[in-house]
Amino acid sequence: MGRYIAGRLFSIVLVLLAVTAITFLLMQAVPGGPFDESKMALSPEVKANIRRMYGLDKPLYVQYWNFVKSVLQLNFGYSYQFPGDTIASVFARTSTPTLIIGGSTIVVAVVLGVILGVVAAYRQNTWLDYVITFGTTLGLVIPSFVLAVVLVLIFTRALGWLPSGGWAKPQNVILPLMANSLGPICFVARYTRNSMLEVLHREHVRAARAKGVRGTRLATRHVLRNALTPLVTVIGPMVPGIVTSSVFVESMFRVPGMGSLFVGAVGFRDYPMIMATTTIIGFLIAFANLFTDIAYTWVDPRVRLGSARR
Amino acid sequence: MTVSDLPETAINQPAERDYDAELERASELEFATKPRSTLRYAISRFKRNKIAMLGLVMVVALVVMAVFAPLITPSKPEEQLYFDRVSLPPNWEHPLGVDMLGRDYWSRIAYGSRISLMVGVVATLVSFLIGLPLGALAGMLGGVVDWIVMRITEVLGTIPSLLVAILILVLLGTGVQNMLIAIAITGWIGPARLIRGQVYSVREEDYVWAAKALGLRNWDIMWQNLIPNSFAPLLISLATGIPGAIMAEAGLSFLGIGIDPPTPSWGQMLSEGLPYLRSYWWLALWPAVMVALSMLGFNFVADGLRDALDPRAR
Repeated sequence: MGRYIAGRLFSIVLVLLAVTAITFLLMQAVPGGPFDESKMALSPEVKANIRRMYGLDKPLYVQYWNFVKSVLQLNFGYSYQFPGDTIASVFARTSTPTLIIGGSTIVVAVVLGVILGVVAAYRQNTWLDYVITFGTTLGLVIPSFVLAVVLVLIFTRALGWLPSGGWAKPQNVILPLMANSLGPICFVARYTRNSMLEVLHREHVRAARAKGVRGTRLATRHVLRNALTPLVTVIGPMVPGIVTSSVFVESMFRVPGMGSLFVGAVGFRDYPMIMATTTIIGFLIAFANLFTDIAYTWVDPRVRLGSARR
Repeated sequence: MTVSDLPETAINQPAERDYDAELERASELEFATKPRSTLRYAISRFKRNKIAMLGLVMVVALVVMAVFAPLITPSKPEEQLYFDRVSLPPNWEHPLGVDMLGRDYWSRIAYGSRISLMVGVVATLVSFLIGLPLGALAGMLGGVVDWIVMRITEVLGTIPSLLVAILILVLLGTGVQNMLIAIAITGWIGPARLIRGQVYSVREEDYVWAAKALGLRNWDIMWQNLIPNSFAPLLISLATGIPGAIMAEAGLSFLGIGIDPPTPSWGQMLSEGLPYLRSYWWLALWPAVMVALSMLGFNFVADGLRDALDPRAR
């Protein structure tokens, strides 16, 4: 197991090096840069100074190596948009809203999703099941930015209960959280329903019923235990979707988080910031995948990792 | 038909046996022995699926809207009809109202479907045109080619595809062509992995080993087995790819890096309507409804196809 994880971490590092190298080359290959005439009217001398300060006069491989060094030192270099701040300090500032919304999205998705899924499975083929199944189908395909607009229309415009954007009051969390979590809730609910139905039809449940086990004891010890353990493996695959939708939801609700930071950095051609955000996102998703694979071995001891013998 | 052929639910709930449905199922099993029956069986399953048919109606309505946009709208979508009367609410003359530049909103919504459908279909087709040959080659040749293609998909798959698209669009600039590039650059991964998996699974089949033992060439075996085996998963993947690309277009235009104004696109209209949410709420509502409806329609069809073509799933 330890060897497997070490191997995976090593390949994550390689993949991230490749991702950042491609991003780096891509940004260099296209015309236009952060210090163009149109963005800042500066004399050639000043511009040369700025370029020297950020190391942009050096050959490309030196620039890339400087980036790798800054990642290893965990300060990620200096941002062009916020002169004087290390990117690490900008991340420290912007990660709080993103982690609050993203973290509570996962919690809300698991709690509500499990409840809906369990209810639908126990009431299979009744109107309640149909409503939940159809509702989750709708929720899975509605894009988060469309949902965000509808939520603002309802809760801000029609009811006047919640603010339409910003990040000052606790109420500011609610609408972004709702827009972000509908998809994950429906995802978990569907997974739970299918998993529950599968367990409910298994032999050991029938045997337990035949022995006279019923009610809460049957549900908790024989059904839920087996049906809900696999949920550990669906949290990881939710991460990329949450990252993507947080970009839209944060821009829409003017949340000063890492999602809007990414959009702003790309627009500004803030190279170090783009590279750093890409690294963080790539690391997060690669790590979520690794977690998922390890989770499979907890859930099902028959799964063995890294046994690539064929 | 023996008891073991019946689905398990039928054993659990003997009281609610649906004899009509069982008879139908039995007759379908019989007609499954006739040639070309898989497809007909799938079509009949699809037709019986009410949600899938609803989705099909929605998709057809969208296509009709896109094709006949000039006939069903009073004015060109870019045409500013008024300079003194703007942001009008829906009325008899303008069923969806007038936007902040005095343009008929129904015309913009209707023409917006053209961009959505075009990007959805073309981006998906381009993705398949790149992904299928690459995946098939990786699967058939194996070795270094396979390794390279798989590492590329792994690297591209590390960053969510929409974020890659954002990066590409900002670097290359906005516009329809760059939008297609931005979506297809990660869109080919799915089809490539799918067809590679198909090649690998066909390779392992006993009858393929038998064919090899009889001396058939690899190429002929692949050609004869791969296409019929891959038809259903490819069709499903195509059907899910289109709404994915439509959503990507709407999302990127929503962020202001997609389709350039004045050409109407729903995502772009949605973000243009945002500042007016308090006073002229319908400007954001209609494009939101249209994006939602098109996502629902296409996904209903895709789900229906999945259920019809792969009865074992679920």
